[in-house]
Amino acid sequence: MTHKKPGDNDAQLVIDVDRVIHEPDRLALVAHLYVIAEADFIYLEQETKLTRGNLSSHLRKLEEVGYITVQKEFVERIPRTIVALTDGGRQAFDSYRQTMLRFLRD
Amino acid sequence: MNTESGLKSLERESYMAYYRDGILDLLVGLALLGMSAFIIFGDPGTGAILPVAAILLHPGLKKYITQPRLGYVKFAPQREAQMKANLSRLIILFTVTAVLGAVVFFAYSGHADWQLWIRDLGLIPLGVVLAVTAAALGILYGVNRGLVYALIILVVFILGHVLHIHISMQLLFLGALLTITGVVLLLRFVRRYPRLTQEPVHDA
Repeated sequence: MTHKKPGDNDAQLVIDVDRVIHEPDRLALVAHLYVIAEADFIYLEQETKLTRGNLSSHLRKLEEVGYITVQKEFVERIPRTIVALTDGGRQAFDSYRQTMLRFLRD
Repeated sequence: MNTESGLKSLERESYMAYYRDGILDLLVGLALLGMSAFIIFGDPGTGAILPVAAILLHPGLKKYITQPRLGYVKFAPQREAQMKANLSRLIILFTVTAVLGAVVFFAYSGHADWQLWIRDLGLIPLGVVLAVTAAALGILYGVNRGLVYALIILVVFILGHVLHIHISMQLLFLGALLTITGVVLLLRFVRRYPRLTQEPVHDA
């Protein structure tokens, strides 16, 4: 997370942007998680159109940095993976949004 | 487009996906076609239960067709609260519709001025009740085609009254329209959301 300090220019802020979120597929994934409370793997797969391997990989990365929680459960004997953004993940996304909005505005 | 409207659009699209499967349109359309057939064959009473059957079938078909394709999602608290509020409004809507329907029904059992006035309008009052229901459902769930259906229902019932078109033909037209719309929406939906096999067991 970056905080603008006196003397910082916006280009430097973008260079230092959170690259975990900045990756396009992960950005789409985090954006979808941001606007809902939680969702399962199927939902995320349908909404992001990522392949299963890609989606798994990105979820793993986001979980490693603490941006999401992943819970596994069985519903009528079918495995279901529930994913939700953590508070840290929401803050990170908010910070990312502010940085990009500031940099890209006219 | 600023980011805020983009995120709101994202959330809205996720929510609206549940209402774009065309299943309700298809069920109500088939019910109307069935009602038309029952009227033609002289048994309108039996046909009248078909819309109720359609509504009762809806949750099951949603569970079998829609939910496995869309997956599980829990919306943000604001949206969840809105959905709960919509449920209460739906109950009120159906109660009001039932009362209006009963008023129209009882208009045929007396000779008071208001009853004669309603009878002079033929089936237009019934059309108004159906149109109000369709419009209210459209507004409740943010589905614009509910308003379009309401307009079409009004036009069909008014024209039917003016041109002396039998109710069975009016229902046939409306039923065909909804059925075709439902089929088109359903095909589009299953193409957009193919049924995915069980999610993999992964170590994410």
